[in-house]
Amino acid sequence: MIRITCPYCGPRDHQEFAYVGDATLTRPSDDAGADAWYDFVYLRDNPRGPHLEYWQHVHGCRAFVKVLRDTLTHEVLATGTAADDLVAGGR
Amino acid sequence: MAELARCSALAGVLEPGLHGRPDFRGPGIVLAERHPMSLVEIAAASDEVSGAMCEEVAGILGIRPPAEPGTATGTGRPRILWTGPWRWLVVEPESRDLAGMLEPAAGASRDLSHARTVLRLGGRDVRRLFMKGAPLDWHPSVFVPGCCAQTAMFHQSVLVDCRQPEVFDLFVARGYARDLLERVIDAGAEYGVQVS
Amino acid sequence: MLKLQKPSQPFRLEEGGEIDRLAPLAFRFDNRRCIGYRGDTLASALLANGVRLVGRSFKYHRPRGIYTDGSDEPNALVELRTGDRREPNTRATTIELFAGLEARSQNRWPNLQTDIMQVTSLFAPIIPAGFYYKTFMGMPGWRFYEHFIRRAAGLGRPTADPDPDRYDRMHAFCDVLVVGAGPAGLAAALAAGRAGARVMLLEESDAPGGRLRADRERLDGAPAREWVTRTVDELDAMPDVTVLTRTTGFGHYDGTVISALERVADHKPVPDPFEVRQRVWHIRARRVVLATGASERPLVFAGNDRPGVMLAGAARSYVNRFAVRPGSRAAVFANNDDGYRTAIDLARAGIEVRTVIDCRAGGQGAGREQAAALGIECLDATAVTATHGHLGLTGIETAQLSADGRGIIGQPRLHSVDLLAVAGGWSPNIQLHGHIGAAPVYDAELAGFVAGSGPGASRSAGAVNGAWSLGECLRQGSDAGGEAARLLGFNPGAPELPVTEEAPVGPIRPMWRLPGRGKKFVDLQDDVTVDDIELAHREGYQSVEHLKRYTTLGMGTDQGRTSSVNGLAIMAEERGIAVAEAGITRSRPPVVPVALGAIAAGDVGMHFAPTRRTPMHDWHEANGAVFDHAGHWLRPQYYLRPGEDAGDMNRAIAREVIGTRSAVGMVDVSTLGKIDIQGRDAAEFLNRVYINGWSTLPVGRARYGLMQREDGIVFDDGTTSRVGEHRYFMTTTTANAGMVMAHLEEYLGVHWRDLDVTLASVTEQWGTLALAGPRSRDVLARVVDGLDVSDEGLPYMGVRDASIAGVAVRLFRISFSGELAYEVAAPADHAARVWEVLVDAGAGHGLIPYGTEAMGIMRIEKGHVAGGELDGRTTAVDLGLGRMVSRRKFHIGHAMAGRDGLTAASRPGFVGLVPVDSVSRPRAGSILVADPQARPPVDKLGHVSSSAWLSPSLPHPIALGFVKGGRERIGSTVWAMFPMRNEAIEVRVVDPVFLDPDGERLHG
Ligand SMILES: [Zn+2]
Repeated sequence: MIRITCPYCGPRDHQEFAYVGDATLTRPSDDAGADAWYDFVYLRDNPRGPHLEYWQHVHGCRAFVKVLRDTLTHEVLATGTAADDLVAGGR
Repeated sequence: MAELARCSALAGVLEPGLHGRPDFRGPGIVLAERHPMSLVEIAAASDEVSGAMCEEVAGILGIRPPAEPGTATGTGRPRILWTGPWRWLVVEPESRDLAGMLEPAAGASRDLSHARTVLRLGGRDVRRLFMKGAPLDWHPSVFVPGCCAQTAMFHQSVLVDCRQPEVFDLFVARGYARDLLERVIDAGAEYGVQVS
Repeated sequence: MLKLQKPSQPFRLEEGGEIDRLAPLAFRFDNRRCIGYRGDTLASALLANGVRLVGRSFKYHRPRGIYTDGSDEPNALVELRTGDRREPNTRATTIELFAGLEARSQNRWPNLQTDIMQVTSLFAPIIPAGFYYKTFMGMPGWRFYEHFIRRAAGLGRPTADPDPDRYDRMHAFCDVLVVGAGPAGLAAALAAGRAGARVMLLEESDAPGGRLRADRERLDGAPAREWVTRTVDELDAMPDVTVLTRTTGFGHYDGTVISALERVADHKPVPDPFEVRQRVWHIRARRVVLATGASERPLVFAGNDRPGVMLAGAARSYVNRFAVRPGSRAAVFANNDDGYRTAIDLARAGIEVRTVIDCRAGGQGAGREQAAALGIECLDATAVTATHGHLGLTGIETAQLSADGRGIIGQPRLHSVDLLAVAGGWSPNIQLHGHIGAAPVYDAELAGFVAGSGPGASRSAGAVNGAWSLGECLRQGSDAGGEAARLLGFNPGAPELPVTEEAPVGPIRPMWRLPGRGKKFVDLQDDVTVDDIELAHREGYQSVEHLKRYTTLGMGTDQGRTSSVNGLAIMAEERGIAVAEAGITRSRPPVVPVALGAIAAGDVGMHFAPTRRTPMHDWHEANGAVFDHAGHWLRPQYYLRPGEDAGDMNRAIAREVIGTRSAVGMVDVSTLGKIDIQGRDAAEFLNRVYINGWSTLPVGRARYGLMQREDGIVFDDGTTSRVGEHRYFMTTTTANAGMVMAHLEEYLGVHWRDLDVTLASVTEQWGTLALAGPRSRDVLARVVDGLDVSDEGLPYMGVRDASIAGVAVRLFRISFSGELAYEVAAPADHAARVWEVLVDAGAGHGLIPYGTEAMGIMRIEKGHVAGGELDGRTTAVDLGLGRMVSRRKFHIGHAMAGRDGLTAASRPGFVGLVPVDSVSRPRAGSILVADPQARPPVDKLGHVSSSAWLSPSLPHPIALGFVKGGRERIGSTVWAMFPMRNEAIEVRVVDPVFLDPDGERLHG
């Protein structure tokens, strides 16, 4: 069980959320070229430790929540909205 | 359209009577459907539009959508529940064209009157019943009147609005209403459920 | 004449205990009539009745008795209750006695006293650890042997009937959760509760107290039970303190979540009406205090499994709490001062305690003096080296230990006893700590493992933390509870601890195995002996995790609570390393067995998953619909008429297709996903999410749209209508409705936050139906008000508002069947009425309702793609829809769809398939190949994606599929292979549109 703090709804069970994916990636511009798109669509880091990811609060407010989660300990280190810059300022 | 009777998702299913086994104090849960209801979702795509929308909605309805997530404003005619960032549900028993009234406001408005079934649940054991269904803190000092919350109850997305310390409105997608009703009555059977 | 004997309780003490002597309870064990009292466990009641032999062991079928007094019991597993409530492997030590209880011993045939399977014992030397698998696995007859081996091993018999009881689940929140209500747990709950925190306290047995119920401790100058009662009363009076008895914390998870099993009604013959039998709690606590106590360890000596050998703490519990004599002539065997405490309690209860056998040399201390003063012989540096008795203990042999404890000096001496209480030290119950990754740390003073620090907001107190004395347990509990409250902002105040009266205790002497000949059991439940561990060592299975799996040490229902430490310590000795270095196996949930029914709670039967019904559901049900599951939805698959049954399925489906194609049919399409899209950038948003363009779509028109994933593969399709200047009404497939909604939300919420667009699912707001067939317009014209439904008033792909029978509806002139067709969307509460009005209006036009089967056949006849084609591997070009791709804009998947791999000419293209023999039915999933005789590996040309076994409109079955070369192959034949059913069908490649290729029927 992981408890994730939705920036709107507060701490909730992870079953209320759907995992979306890596939040460190930025969608390339439409004409960014094959390599940039290949990176965005397929390449993922698999870090041991803190990992920034998106979870959608599907059974709640449906917001996309940024979650900084330790892949080793499962500890949720910080959460914020999609607009928040967690790694730089959120910790 | 007002004279045309609406057919609830629970028509023929919600049998008035006592289910389960109450103790000597009588049924621990009382349940009724609130129907027909007017439900209108208002939503904006930015802070700016949201601000204008709230302003205009306040002008039209006389109450302002709550700024605080997880809260509701209004006494019921209408009542406005926070349902997401820049998004609210305006709720009242059907008697006027709520959707039409809100149409001119900034942002988007959508009639969801038929999309949700609303159960009114009361009684001393309702909070225990909710504990069976959903992983939220239902303690009477935490989930107080004025609070609303969206969560998964018995695996279905629901919106719960605390109206009084022991009275709640439970909103569920229409198609799941019968399933949820069955779960509620089944889980509440040990307390006794009076359906009216 | 059969003389009925009144059962008596020959081993019940005259007074004392927490039993209600005014509430006698009759029960049966192996059909023997017995009597116990309320407050007994099955184990204590059996002992009171003189029953010492309660089961046979798992592997060797050795006679076994009652070993412990709690959930760590490895031996006394019985089959409980009868009929549909029959349950195997229940622990006699945790079953609270109730009137009419029926239990049976397990693992014996024909009966407990004479078990022919015990001959296994004769061959025991040739059945070491891993024997079965090494000997039989891989042999041709393994399955044959397995049957007999498993039957010989015996695992009890569960009922085959459905469980008649109710189970549920409870989600709870609190500030401080205390697991275990012994002295430490009670003190912790009291400290946190007095500080004002919301507290939950879990107690495994029927009442709080823990060891205070089993031992003759004194607090504040009075029996400790009085302090327990006072404390529980005070906790009960606190409004925000919840004490759950009969509740075991079985799992500890990230986020300070504890799962616990409450046995609500297991102590009753059957639950009260509507009462749940068991309930699983998921408790989210801000702080956790683990006060789970410790389990006593046996000493490992020859013959240590005989009925009559019992843990010392359990023997005290039976005497003090249950007022039962577990034997008449007792000896105590110990490596610590608990031995004397036990001897004294047994003697005070009137049991003849003959001797205390202490492994330690130079005996001294208060306990020993007290025991000696009671006339009990106290032997130092001595061990039990053998036991005697067939079905129960009759005697033991003792001998002087050599200095290193590995051998004996002199001749063994015989003692005639029927009870041997064994005190080998205590192992803290650190299972819950282990679940969240707290590493066990060896404590040499304790000769056991305590929990190291782990993640999360949990700490431990009392015996689980290595606290030996009652005073220390109380102090640690009070400190932990107070600290938890203080960390949460409460003010716990100064602790008030009761005054204890305790004598100092001497050190323990770890003795992991003792000299002597015969089987020395380490794990009684799994029949793992010292020999097995030595064998595992010789064969190289030396790490604790290997040892566990090779020998099955600790893999029983008791999770090795009495055996793990002894087992791994013996392995450490074999390896010549320190116990601390060997480590201990990682514990995993659940700590105690949990019934699957309790975990499933109410999610069974029809509620295994939620069921979703359309607004027209009741009409379908009343009109012969056979339902199919589409996700959570129930959809009519086809409709049977009165007198028809499931055997008439094909006739019904054909009737529905023919009726629709020849007159008019109606299908419920409420399950399609519907999304309301509003905002100034709505058209731009659609341009980005669909491959085709939307800027030119006028208000009042619908368009077919195709969505791609970012990787260029097609994701979903549907029609989207422009219903206002900045408002669109999107439809999705039933299967992908939720995924499309989340997909669109993701782009607006993450990638395109600057777009002025909002979305809402309006799937449930509308009940929708499709009216299709040459007469559909005639039917519609009869009921629609305020709209001309002619080609001019409602052209193909037109969208208009109108009303039907006073209901404001939205009409769409769109077709999935290829016929002249309309979709009608009505507000859900009116949808059934609109449906019925159309049924009435269509009566004179031959209107027939149709289900998903007919719908599927008709779309295959028209070559429309659906789930079988949108399978997550196909591109728009593969589907023959490449012309839809707009080149004037960017959209999701635009960049990746142009990759070489997705544009290669060799990719299979979308085609129709017809069996050459006009009769065979190529199955969906069949592989297309050129040569049916070719030996694998075979070049795959493509596959069959959808199949209509009957096409009433055509003289042969039809199918859709993908084949290399695509349309270029039209006219040639390939083979559809389905090796799992040995099918090879020659099929001709044809155009995927089988019917009305020019679309004339769309216009009636
Ligand atoms: Zn949320």
